[in-house]
Amino acid sequence: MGSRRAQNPDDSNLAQKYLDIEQAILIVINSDQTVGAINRKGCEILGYKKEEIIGKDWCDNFLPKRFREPTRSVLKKVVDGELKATEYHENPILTKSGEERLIAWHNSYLRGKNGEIISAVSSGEDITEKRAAEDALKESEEKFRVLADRSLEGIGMSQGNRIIFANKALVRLFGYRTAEELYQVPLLDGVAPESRHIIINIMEKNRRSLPVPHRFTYKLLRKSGEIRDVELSFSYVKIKGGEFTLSTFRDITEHRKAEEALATSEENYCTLVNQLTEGLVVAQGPRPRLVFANPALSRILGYSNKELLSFSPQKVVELIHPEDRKMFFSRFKARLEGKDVPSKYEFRGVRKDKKTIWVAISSRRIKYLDQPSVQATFTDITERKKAEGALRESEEKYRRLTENMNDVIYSIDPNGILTYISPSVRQYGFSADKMASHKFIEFILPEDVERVTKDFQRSLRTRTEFSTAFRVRTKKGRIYWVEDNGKFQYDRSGAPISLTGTLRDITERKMAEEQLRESEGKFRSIIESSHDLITLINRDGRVSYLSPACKKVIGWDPKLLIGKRPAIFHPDDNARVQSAINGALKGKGGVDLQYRIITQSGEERWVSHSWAPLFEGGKLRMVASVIQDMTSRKKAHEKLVHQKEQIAQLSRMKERFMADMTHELKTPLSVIMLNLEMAKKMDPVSQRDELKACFDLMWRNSVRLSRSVEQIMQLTKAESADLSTSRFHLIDLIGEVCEEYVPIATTKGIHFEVFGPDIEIEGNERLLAMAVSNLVSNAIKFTPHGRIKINWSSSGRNAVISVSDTGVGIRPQNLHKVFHKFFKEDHDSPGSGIGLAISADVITRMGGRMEFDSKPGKGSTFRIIIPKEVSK
Amino acid sequence: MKKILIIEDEPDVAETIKAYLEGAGYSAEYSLDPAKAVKDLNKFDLLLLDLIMPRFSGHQVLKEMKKGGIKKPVVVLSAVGLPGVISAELKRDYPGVLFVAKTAMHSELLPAIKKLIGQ
Repeated sequence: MGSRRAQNPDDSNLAQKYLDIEQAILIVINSDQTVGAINRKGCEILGYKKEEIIGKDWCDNFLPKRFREPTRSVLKKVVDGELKATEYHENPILTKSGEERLIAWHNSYLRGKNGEIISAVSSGEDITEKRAAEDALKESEEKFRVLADRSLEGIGMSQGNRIIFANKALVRLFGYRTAEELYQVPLLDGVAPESRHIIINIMEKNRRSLPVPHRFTYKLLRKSGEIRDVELSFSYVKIKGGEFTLSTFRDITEHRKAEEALATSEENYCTLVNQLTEGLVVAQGPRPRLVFANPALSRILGYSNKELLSFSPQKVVELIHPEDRKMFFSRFKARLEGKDVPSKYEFRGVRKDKKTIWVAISSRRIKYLDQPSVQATFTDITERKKAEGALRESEEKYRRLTENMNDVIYSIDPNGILTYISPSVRQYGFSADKMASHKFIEFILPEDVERVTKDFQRSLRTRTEFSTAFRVRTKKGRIYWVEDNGKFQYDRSGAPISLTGTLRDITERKMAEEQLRESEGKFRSIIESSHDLITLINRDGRVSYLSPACKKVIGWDPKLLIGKRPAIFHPDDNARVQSAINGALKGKGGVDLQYRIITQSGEERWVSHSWAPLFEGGKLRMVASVIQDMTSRKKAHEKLVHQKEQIAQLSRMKERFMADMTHELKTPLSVIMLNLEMAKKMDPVSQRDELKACFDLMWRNSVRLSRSVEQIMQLTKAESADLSTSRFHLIDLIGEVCEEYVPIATTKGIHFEVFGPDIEIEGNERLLAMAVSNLVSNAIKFTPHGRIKINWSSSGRNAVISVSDTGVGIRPQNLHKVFHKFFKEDHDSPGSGIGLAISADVITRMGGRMEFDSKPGKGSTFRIIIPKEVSK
Repeated sequence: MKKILIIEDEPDVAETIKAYLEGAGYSAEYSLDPAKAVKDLNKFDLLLLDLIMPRFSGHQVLKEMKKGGIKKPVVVLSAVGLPGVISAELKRDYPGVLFVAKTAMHSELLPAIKKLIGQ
């Protein structure tokens, strides 16, 4: 570095200056300010010839205009002796070419003999260049100073063991307040102990003039004791013979940290790349060269990383299977050029061991080390390809299988047209070739088409598998049952594109099913028509079947019982029934368990239950039961009891009848006998009247006796009487009856009323007479006194004969028994109790009927309603 | 002369017995209405009672008598075929009552009456 200012020439040098005349302008200015003399140098600088200068006004001719007046006054001062001779000033001059040049002037005087100043002598040095250089330096110095001060890097200069200059950044770096403070610190005190050896080493090498690194990093020790990582660059400078060290310091602590972080991240990335199972490669071109490869790529290709990276383009090309090379490298090249080519595809590679491998590649264009490159991942898919191959093989196998198996495979399009059907369809007498392009439905038996169509549409609608069965008829007329199971295929929008299915011959199964169904139907009809309830109970005690008689037999809706353990038993019988069920579920059978069920409507009902366990493979499968409604049995029993009672009653009645008949016979007989007894002792002459009375009584009672016998005969005959008919007048018949009864009635004081029109009847006169006779006889029997009215009339096609009495009547509770054989109001009632029964019987047999009204104590009316004509 | 009442619904039978008893020296009357006859019983020494009559049977007559505390010798006339059965019931309920079958009246009636009230 030079001094900042040129040295002023001092007086001691003046003589020398003059001597060195050639080096400076030498000019004498007269007192009139004209040029008195000028040396060669002066002419040279001004560019004029000596004669052109001498005698001319200095200021007007050789100074720039702006300096003329100031210089004229200075010169006047010089001539007047007002300026010291040694004074120095700088002043430009104007050359002939019009150029200004800066001249440093030294003035002196030439004095006359009297000491008066006659002229000024000025010597001038052209300092134009020097000043320009000086200005430039000044500017530069300023620039550097600002730069140094504003620099973020620490800049310092040291000499020996001290820093003698430090910019603001350096002061900050060391942690001091002022530079002066820093200048007091010995150099090594600013270095962390662990880095001191670096500095000492450099200083030592420097001292011995050994080469040293001019840039290094070390740890700087701040005033606070904090340590910073610093990169230091230094150079030596010699200024004015002194040797300094100029250093720049850069705090790299943060950078170091970032670098470390980056290193870690890079390490991670490296690890990742190295551990990838996919091969990762970066290649550049256009002649392919591998610039990066991870270990996985080495594994895939069998070459070491080093080998791969050193491959010549030819070797790289050989990594690709000959058949795929063209495709592979044309894509590689296009990609490098930034063209859009498929980035993911598969190709065959060749390993070091010459084995061909299948590789899936995914590649993209990147910049790597500033070069357009292709980065790609390689995945070894050889195994997958093998599996694919196996799959293809397997597919082929299945295809062959399908074509040879009995099941027929078909495929139809959404219009139902066959797009494929396997040749095995020939088993149904069809030819696959001839079926193709036909509607599938054409081959189905017409009766089944509707059902199949429904199944098809349902499957399509619900997107479920298509399953149906139908019949086909071969050309020879044979019918096959075919089971069809298929699946729809859909396109991306979900629209069906095809149906693929299999057809299987299930004719035998169907036949068996049919037979089974027939057989099942038989059993079912037996079971379902049974009046008894037939049930099945599962192993777990739950009801699985109830025959239709359920509701009728046990009074329960089967729906309420199916799948349940029934709890329908009468509380008093429940324990008994449950233990029987438990026994049944252990395999015990049972017969006629009688218990009560509480029906759905809450009634009690007796049932009889018999059951048998059903085994399958030695294990109980279910229990079958027959449950009978005991109501009918109970009814039958009741009927039996009733009949028995009836028989007993009948028997009692018969006994009574016998007794009554006996009475009926014995009463007249007793009269006859007693009268005979009396008559025996009577004198026929004197007791003639008494005797006559006896005979009358005997006669009458003989008639009665005869009639009773006749009645007994009627009883046996009536039922077997022939119904031969004749025409007769009703009035005659009733007249005859009355003729018989009026005497008896009269003796009881009973009045007879008899009237009616003449009605001709066609029928069995004898039986009708018997019936009427019985009514009249009864009327007399049950009428102690009063009136008996017999009348008859015609009513449409019928004749109505009515017999009314004013007798005892019939008690209401006995009304219904009136026509029963042997019925009598009570044991002591007279008669056999057979009369009305016989009457009703014969009238019914004649196509008529009997009616009666009766009021106890008031009398009864009996009516015979009989057709006038025998119906043909 | 002992007075006998005959309750019998069959006029022929009643008439015959009346004549027969009168012939044997008794005073006899008959009634065809048993219910009415019971009330007049006190006037008689003996009752000849037919069992089987409509509405008001001989059996009922006996019940009425027992109820009314009427104690009269009674001969029951029976025409039924099984006198044993009926008589056994009646004999149990009405001890002292004698039974004569109607068809045996010619030989048994007078001895029975004699046994109860004498000649």
